[in-house]
Amino acid sequence: MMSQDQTTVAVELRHVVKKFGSFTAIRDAHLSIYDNEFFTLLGPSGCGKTTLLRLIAGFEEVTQGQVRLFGKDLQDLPPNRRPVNTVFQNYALFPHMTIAENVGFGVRMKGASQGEMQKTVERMLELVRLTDHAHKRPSQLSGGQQQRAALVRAIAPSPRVLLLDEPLSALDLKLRQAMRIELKQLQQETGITFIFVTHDQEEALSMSDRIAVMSDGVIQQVGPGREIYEHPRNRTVANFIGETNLLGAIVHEKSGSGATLTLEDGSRVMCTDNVPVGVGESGQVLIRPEKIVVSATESSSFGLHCKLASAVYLGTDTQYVLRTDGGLTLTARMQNVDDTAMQMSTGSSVVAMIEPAAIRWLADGD
Amino acid sequence: MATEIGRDDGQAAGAFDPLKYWLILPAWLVIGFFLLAPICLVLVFSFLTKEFRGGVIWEFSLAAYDQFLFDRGLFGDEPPRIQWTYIEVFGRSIFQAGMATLLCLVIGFPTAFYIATRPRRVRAVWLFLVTVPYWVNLLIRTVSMKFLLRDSGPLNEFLLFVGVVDEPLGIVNTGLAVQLGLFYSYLPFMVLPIFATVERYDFALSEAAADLYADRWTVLRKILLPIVAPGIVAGSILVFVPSLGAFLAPDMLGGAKNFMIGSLIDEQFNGNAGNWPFGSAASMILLSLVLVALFFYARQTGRQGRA
Amino acid sequence: MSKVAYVKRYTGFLTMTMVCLTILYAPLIIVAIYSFNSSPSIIVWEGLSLHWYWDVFFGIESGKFKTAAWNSLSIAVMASLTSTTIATAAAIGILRGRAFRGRNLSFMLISMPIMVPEIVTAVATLIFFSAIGFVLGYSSILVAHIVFCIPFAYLPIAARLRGIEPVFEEAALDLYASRGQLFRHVIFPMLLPGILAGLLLAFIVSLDDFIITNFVKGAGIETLPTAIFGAVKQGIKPNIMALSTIMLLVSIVCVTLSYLLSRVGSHGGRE
Repeated sequence: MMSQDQTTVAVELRHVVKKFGSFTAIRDAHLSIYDNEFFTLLGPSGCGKTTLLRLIAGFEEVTQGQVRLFGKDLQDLPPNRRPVNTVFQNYALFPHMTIAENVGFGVRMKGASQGEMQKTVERMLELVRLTDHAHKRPSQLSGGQQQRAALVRAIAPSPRVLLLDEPLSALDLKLRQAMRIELKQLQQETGITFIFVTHDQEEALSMSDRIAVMSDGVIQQVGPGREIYEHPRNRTVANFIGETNLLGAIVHEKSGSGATLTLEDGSRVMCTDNVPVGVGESGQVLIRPEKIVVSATESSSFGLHCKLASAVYLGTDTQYVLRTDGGLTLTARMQNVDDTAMQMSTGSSVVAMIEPAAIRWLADGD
Repeated sequence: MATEIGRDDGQAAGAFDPLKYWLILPAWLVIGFFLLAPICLVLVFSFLTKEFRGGVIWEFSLAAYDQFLFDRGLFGDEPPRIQWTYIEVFGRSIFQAGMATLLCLVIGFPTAFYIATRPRRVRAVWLFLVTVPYWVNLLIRTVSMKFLLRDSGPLNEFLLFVGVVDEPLGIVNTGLAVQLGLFYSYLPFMVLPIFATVERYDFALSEAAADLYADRWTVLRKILLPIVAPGIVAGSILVFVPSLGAFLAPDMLGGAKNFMIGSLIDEQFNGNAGNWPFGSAASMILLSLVLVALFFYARQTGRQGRA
Repeated sequence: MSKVAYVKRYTGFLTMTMVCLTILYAPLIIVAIYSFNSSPSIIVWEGLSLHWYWDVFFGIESGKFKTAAWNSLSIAVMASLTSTTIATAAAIGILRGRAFRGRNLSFMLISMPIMVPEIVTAVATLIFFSAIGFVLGYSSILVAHIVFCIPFAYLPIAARLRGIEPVFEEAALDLYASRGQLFRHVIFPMLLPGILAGLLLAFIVSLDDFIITNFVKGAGIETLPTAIFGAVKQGIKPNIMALSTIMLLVSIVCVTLSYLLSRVGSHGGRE
């Protein structure tokens, strides 16, 4: 969660619309990103997240609306005059310059003296342990090293905001995981606002103070990772973040602590979430697979009786596909703490237990 | 994808966008003033009256085109008969250019194919070997060809010495020599586009066909050829077009009997004929033939681009 | 890759390739060999000698050749430098500006000197110069050469520029470079191999041109190709073969350089 002062707004988007010809890439984006925040734009490819980043950097012009940086409208300010730097997806390190020259480029263009520039470059290279590679060309470095060089090249001119366009996507899994930690540390050390674009939810959840989920050019939900995972505002968000069981439900009864819902197959479940509609009205509920406990024996009153359709062993956990007696399909996921998985065979009768707190009423039907 | 559309829409940030017209202007001015305008002037000249020993009189006349098509006798008062002389020159030019194209295709296709199937590193070297002679002065290449093919030249000497022939072959001053000369002039234009298409061809398709019991040559004919056809068409047009208007090869290797459009035009300006309107008319006819060929080429590459 | 896959092997294709290379190289090699013949006759071989090379530089015709060579070289240097500058500017304008209506037309205009048959260009230029009263001579040759060199310079430059991803431009702008700095520190150094390749090609094309030069040169001035053409009219002489061999070597050196340049740092572009 956010540790810093929340009141200073670093980047503000005011009803931003971006069109490419007849194609609308961004529809009415309205968003505030705070100073010192690690903010992530998360969404599938083509959702407009990179376009949003390019609007902030100044590579594209907004069709409507405003992009403001620390209270100042950026309209008509070209990219080379915005105190914002970008880490590009494939790094875009200048192939004809050494690493040191690359890192010093921004400082040099800003008009710093030779001595100043050298000092900054040394400090930066030290920060990411590239001092020994200062005089090599980008092509002589490994992917991870190029990544770090691109990172400090963008940080060297001390921007107010750093934009990162899927910077980890070209690295392999191990390196990617290590870089996540390094990125987060760097952000905390430098205190620069990071705006990070990714399609990888794990990346987003592990680093961000707040996440904006985007799809089809619309910002669907903004909030801390936990909130987005636990309380997705709509189906799009729920589907994009993690696995989900999305079920149709009708409110059967309401009480002070929650509601009883009737699922599509007629079975009843308890829900302690806030259900904003009245008795008899329908909507959708969301149940995360890891919140469903599957057992061979009936031991809870909340249980749904099911047949086990399939069990897929995935190493750390097992994924179960269940069919309720009423014909509903549920996906469950349980850690392989013991040998429970092996004791249940396909076709056998099992009970799926769902805690009332694990059932989320989706505010938005669609 | 949004970013891709962004790129298509214009090139990225387009820092040079505000300057683009100024950057292109010099090229427009130079080529427009010294090539496009002059070509329009050639069209005008082809409708003017000739002045003896070069130049024109600024009076409208259809004489140039009339002379091209009709024979009205020595004093121009006889009833017009079709004049075959110049039509024959054009016909011969088209024939020779066509034969040269065929020659380039027969030798160029296997070469391009062979090069395209070499390992990547060696490929560039082979390609380089094929293109180097193109950059050697055309005049020197043509002179060398003539030197080699002469009756008393090294080729005939060698053949006589070995005993393959009893007397020199007499290649120089024949159509064959012209075709060889044209082949020599423009071969890389055939090899490069074919090479490009064969290199992009996915040989898994050939393997699939071979797996389904097609033999090598059936695979070549039924699978590869239809797919690389655009490259062959492109190469053929690229050889045919410059061959049509060639001057050096027919002039130096063909002799008087085999002269082509290039020599006909040259004769009007540098030779004894000195008929500028007629030379202009012949140039315009040549240019329109070329434009027709290039139109097909553009359509072909357009189709390739869409595929 | 020791063995080529079944479907890539065709009997006779290697033979054809060899035939192709033989036809391409045999005439050049034979002329080069005969240029070392000591005999004044081109038919009889009388042994190795550098006599005809001496003759090119110091013989009776050497003055004519030297003047022609000077004309050829000075025109080629000026024409290639001018046309490369024009082509570089045009390539950046066409490929780095946003799409505009005249873009395709601009490209067609630039490639026009390659598309139009040389003899037609020659006729057009001669007629144009005589119509505007431009005196034929050194400067008319130079102007004509600048025009037809532009597409040859343009092609390698444009190819190189297309390989430089726009993202490098964005990165430079993002790091506070002005347009001038962007060109000086990023575009120009990355484009340089293409520019040099274009310069060399333009240089060779200018050095080699015969047809257009022959039309627009007027009386009393010769370039190397027109001088050689004039000399060959009276039959091929051994000194011409020596001269040809020298020019052949110059061409091959230039093309090799241009080829190597176009490969320099091409790995710098990213996938």
